[in-house]
Amino acid sequence: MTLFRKNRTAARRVPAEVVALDLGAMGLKAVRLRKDKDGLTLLAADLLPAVKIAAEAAAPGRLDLPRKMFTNYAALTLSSEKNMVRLITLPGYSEQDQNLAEKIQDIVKLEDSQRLAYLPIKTGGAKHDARILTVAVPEAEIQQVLALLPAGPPAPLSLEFSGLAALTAFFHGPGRQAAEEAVCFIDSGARTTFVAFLNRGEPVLVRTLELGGETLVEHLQAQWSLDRATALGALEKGATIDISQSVHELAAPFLRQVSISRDFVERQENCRITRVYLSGGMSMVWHWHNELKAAIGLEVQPWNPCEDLKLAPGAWPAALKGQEARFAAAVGAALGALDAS
Amino acid sequence: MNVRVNLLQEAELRHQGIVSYRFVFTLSASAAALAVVLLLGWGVLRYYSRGQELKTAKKTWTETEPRYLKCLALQEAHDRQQALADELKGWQNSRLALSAVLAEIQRLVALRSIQFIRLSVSSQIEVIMPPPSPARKTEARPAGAKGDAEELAPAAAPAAAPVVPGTPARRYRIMIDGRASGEQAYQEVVDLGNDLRTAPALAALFESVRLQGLRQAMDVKDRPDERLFSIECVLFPRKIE
Repeated sequence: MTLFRKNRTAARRVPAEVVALDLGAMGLKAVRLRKDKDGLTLLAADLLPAVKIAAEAAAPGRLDLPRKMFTNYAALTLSSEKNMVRLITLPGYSEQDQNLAEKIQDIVKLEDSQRLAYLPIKTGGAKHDARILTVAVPEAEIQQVLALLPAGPPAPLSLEFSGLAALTAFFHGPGRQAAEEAVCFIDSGARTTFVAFLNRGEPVLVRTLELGGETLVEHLQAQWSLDRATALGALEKGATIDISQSVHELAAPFLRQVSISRDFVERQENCRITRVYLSGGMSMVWHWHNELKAAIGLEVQPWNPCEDLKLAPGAWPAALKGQEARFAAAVGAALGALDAS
Repeated sequence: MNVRVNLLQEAELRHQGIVSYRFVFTLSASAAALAVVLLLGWGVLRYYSRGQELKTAKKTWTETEPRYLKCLALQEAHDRQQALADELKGWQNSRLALSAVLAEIQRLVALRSIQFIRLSVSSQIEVIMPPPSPARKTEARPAGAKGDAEELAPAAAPAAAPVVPGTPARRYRIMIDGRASGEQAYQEVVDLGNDLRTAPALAALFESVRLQGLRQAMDVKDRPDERLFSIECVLFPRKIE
C-alpha cells in the first residue's frame, strides 16, 4: 500500500489551461477549460471511446486525443469498481503529525495493492477532531491511467475519484446557492453511484453504492431481451417501453441505502435534507428521477456543470446537447486543477 | 469548498511547458551545430575573399612596383642633390665678400702715413658648439679650431652627457704687416687699430683687432721714427649652413 500526504502532492504552478479526462466505463468524457482574467471558458468538449481501466486488464496504449483537446496538462478522474471513498473522523489531529498517514491507514484498513490519498475537510473542532476525506484506488489502475499519457503533452496533473471531481463541480455551481442548506448529492457512473450528504457546504457523509447506468441497461437487456440500442432508447422520456417497474426493482437496494444514510445524517447533524442534486449518466433517465423522488420524498434537481462557464464558439458538440450532466466529473476535475493553489 | 483529493504522487508529475525538455535539448544542439557550420562557412568565405583580395593586390603591385622603384630612385637622387645643394649653399653662406672689407681698410689707411708691406687673408674651419647649458656653464670653453674642438669637447663633457653636435663655421683672419712713418708713427698705428675696431663697416664683422707687433724699423737708419707693425683682425665665424 502506498501512502502519501496531501501536501506532498502537486504543489506546482497552477496552469491556465487544462484538459480533463473522465475515464468512465461508458465513454471517455473530455473537456478543455481555460482560466484567464475574464473567468473560466470551456474551449472544447467531446465524448471519446471508453478506455478500459481495470487492475486485471492489459495495460492500455497511449491515449490519442483529438487536436481540440491538446494542451499541456491533463486532470484525470477515475471511477473504479474497487475504489473506496470514506469520510473519517480522526481524533487528535495535527497537521504537523508525522504519523498522520499511518493513523489514517489504521482507520481505513486498506489492502496493500491500494493507494491512499486524503484531504482534511474540517479541522480544529472539539478536542482537535478532524474530518478527513480519504480515497483509495488500486495501484495497478493508477499505473494504467498513467500509461495513457506516458510522455509529451498533456502531462498528468492530477488523478481524482470521479465522484469527488463531480462534487467539486457542484461546489462551483449550485453548491454555492446551497451553502446554508443540507443537501444530497448523487453522481451516477456506469456501475457505481457516488452519494454525498452536505450540510452547510461541507460533506458529512460520502458513500459509493453499486448501481449505475450500465447496470440498468444490462438489467433491461436481460429482463426484456432487448438489444443495447433498444435498451438505451427505453431510458429516454416518452419511450414506448415502460421501464418504471424494472428501475424500481433495480434501484430498491440503492434507494434503501440512501434513505438510511439520509436519516443518519439528519439525526447526526441535526439538520433536514432539503434537496437532491443529480449528475452523471443516470440523471438523464426520467424514471430514475421519479424513483428517487418517490423513495426520498424530496425534490430531485438535475444540474448542468457547464452552467457557470463561458462557452467558446463551437465548444460544445451538437450531438452532446442535453448530456452536460455526464461531464460533471470532467468539469470538476478541470475546475479543481485550475483552482488548485 | 475544495474536495480535490489528488492520487498522484510528486514523482509522477512532470513538467510540460510549451516545448518539451527534449525539444529544447534538440533545438539547442541543432543551434550549436548550426552555429559551428555558420562559423566554418564564414571562415571559408573569408578565406576565399581574402585570397581574392590578395590576388588583386598582387596584380596591382606588379603594375605599380616599377613606378614605385623609379620613384624611390628619383627620391634618392633628389635627396643626394639636395644634400649637395645644401652643402654648397652653406659654403656660399660662409664666404665673405672681402672686397668691401679691403676697400674700407684701404680708406682707413689712406688717411695715414702707413704703408702696408703684406696683407694676408686666411680662413679656417671651426666647429661652433651650441651655448652650454647652465649646469655645464663652468665647463664651457671658447670655440677653437676644428681639431681643437674635436679634442676638447669629449674631455670637457662628462661621460654620461649627451654628445651635442656643433656647427661647422668659417672664420676669416686678416694679417696686416706694415710700416708707419713720421713722428706720429706709433700713434698712427694705434689709431689704425682703433679705427679698424670702430669703423661702422667693420665693427659688425670683426670680432677682435689685436696689435701683434710694433717695433722700430731697423732697416732705415736715417728714419728712426719709422715703425714696423703687425695687426691681426679676426672676423666673426660664419656658419656653414
